[in-house]
Parts: sequence; C-alpha cells; structure tokens
Amino acid sequence: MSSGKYLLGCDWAAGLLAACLAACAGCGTGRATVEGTVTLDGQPIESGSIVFEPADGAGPTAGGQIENGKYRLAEEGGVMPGKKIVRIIAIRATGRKLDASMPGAEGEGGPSAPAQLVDELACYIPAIYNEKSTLTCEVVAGKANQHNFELKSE
Amino acid sequence: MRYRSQRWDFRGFTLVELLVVIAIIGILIALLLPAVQAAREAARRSQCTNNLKQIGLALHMHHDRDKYFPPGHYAPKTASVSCANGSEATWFTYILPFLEQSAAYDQIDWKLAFGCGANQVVTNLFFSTVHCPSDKKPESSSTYARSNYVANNGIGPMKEWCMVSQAATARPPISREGGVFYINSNMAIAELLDGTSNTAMVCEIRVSKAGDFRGVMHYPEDPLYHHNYTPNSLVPDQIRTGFCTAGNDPRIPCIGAFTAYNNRNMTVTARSYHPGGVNLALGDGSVRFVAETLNIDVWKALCTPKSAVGEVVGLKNHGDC
Repeated sequence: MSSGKYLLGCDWAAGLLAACLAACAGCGTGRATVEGTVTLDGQPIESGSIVFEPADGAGPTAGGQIENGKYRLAEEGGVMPGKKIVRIIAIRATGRKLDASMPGAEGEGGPSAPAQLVDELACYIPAIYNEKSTLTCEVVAGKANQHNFELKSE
Repeated sequence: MRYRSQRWDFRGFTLVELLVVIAIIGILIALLLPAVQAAREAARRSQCTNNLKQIGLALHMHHDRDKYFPPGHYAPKTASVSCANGSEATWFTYILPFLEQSAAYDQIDWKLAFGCGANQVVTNLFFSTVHCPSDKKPESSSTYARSNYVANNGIGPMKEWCMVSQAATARPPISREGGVFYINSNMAIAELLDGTSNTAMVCEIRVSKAGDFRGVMHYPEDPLYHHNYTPNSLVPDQIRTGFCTAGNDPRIPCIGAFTAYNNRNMTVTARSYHPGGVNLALGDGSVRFVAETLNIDVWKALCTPKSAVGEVVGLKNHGDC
C-alpha cells in the first residue's frame, strides 16, 4: 500500500521533470536547421564555406563548412528565420606557382618559413555567388530547411 | 537492558525513503551546479573584460605619446619588389611598453624581421594580460605566442603584405574597408569620425589548439579580426592552408585560403567562449559586451572609423565596463 503511494508520488515528480525538460527544449535559440547540397556545374564542391546573411541586414549571420558538396547548419550554428542572401566561397590551387621567398630578408618570412615556390590559391566560385551574391532563400522557423544550390561557372 | 532496547529498537529507513532523500539531494545539487558554473564564468568574463580594458588604455597611451594609434602591422617602405627586411611588427608590438613589458620592448632589434634572432624573445613572450581566462591557455609554440585579443582590421579578406613603390610618407591606399588597424595605418582619434564610442578597436577570438596563426601577436596577419560576420558565427575563417588541419576544433572553423604572405587572403571572425557574445573595446576606451545576435549592419558599421554619411550605430548597452 504505502509503496504504491510512493510510486505514485515519484510518477508525479517524473512527469513534472519531463514537462520542465520539454519546456526547456522548446525555448532554444530560435535558429532553424538548414541543410542541403552545393554543386558547381554539376560537380559537388569539395570544401568551402556557405554564409546566410539577413537580406535586410537585421539579424546575425550564420554559416558553416561545405564538405563533399554537403552542408548542415543546426543548433547554435543554425540560421535565424527570414529572407537570406547566400554566399558561397571555395578556394583551390590555380595551378600557378608563386615565389614566397623574401629576398634580402635576414631570416625567414614568417611562422611557416616559406622557402620558395608555393601554390597560388584563388576562389573559383563566380562573384555572383559570393561578393556580389544574387543567391537568396527563405528560411522558415520550426522545421528543417532543405536548400540545394546548383551553381554555374558561366 | 531497557536502555539497550531503546537505543536499538529503531525502525530504520525504508529503501524508498532513502531513495527519495538521495533524489532530493541530487536535484538540489543539479540546481546549484549550473549556478556555480555561471558564477565562475562571470568571474572569468570580468577578468577578460579587464584585460581588454588594459589593452584599450595601452592603445590610448600610444596615442598620447605619438598622436596616433599604432599601425595594424608594419611593412617597410622599400622601393624594390620585395618586402626585404620587413620588420613585421604589429600593433601589439608597439603597445608592449604600455602593458608593462618595456623590458621586452627594449630588446627588439628593429633591423631584423620578427621571428628572427633576438626578436624571438619578444614574439614568444606570453603574459597573462593577453589571455582571456574563458579560453584555455594557449600552448606555447616555439616562436610565436598567441593572444585572445585582436584588433579591428575592417572588412576582410585581408590581402595586403607589401609596400611596393609607395612614397615614403604616404599611407597606403587600401582597396577595402581596413578598420582602424591595417598595414602601416596611423589613425588619430580625430579620424574616428563616427565617434570613438561607435568604432571598434579590439575584440576577442578563440585561439585554436591546432596551433594555427590566429591570435599570433607579432606577425602581420594574425592579431587582427574582421567584421564580415557577426560574433561567434561559425562561418569558417580563411587562414593558411597548411594550418587548417582536419583535427581543428569545430567551434573555431577554418578553410585553407592561402599559402604564403604574398597571396594572403585572411578573414577571421570575433568569437569567445562567453555565453551569448563577445567583449569589444571601443575607441573611447570603454569595453562592452556585444550580443552575438546583433544585426550584421550594426556590426559592419562598428568597424568603420568614418562612414560617408554619419552612421548611427544602435549598439544596445549590454553593461559598460
């Protein structure tokens, strides 16, 4: 008898605890999950960054890494809902070499001590997708947003 | 006998009672622990704020002496194509005497580049004022000590590295918004036309344990940050390819963007481990806590010392220092 009463009491407490936890989970950061794929001329972008900027400038920026053509921004890295300007940056070697030695310097050039020829790197995504971006999307609160971006070099 | 039975004729606790007591104690501890942790973080944050204040004051002392803020980083104005004998000093180097490090400052050989010879003593010098206690103490590298405090380099990416064919007296033309601290800058307070309290000077970054350049005090590209993205944003920083390794902390993301000083392409976002934002020292020497949810427009406006039209920076007061 008495143990049944105690059990009932525990259930009630557990219910209250569960309700508290549910309430806390609801009052998150207000950021929505955004995920999807990014390709350039049909090829997945191996490594790069994606940025979601509020179109009206009101609100913080969000962004993250693109890996093997995929990105996922969730939890504290998620995106505030609203209309966004999207910027995509990916950098790779141009194939040209650059002389990074410092002629005449009394010692090496910096912490990496660049000796001679190094790869020249450059962003290979057209400016209409980053600096002067025309890409936009709408991020909706309370659901996982799927946004795929198919970029073209021309 | 009577005494004995009184003493030992005791019902004892049932298992349920014991469990309830343990549960109550558990809940009390669970309630208390986060509060204790928050109090400890608040203490670390105020120490961090104080360090930032010291650095802000040191910049002002430099201004008192020379009538301008130190350059973001210095490149000698050589006529040749190379940046030979570049001293590579940064704003941090110039304010050492005002952070009670004049002994180290006096050891600098200004004919050498930083990271060479005797100057390694200075580049490797770590002292507690440059470290925000909310972040782990940076592991010492062999040559370059790192700091959590970085100066406003405007809107990235930073590409400048050389003073090729610049007249000896000219401040370099810089083809982007360079903030208050850029290559060979010598900004005076009179040039902060937006108002000193509306211009960012020094902010915080998370120092990577992977040992990359971000936060290195005495090397041109490193004690600087950019206002491209709002604080604590997880947009990857653009750093040197060789240092952006797979084992990098996801809270300090990066992509490899350049290989050497002469194809520099650096963008670094302000970040901290304080919940909700970063500490920011403004041009008037005040230190404010800036929320990570602030509008990107406001954050960008904060980095410009002078805008075409007098911009009003609606920085909410999150508690002055």
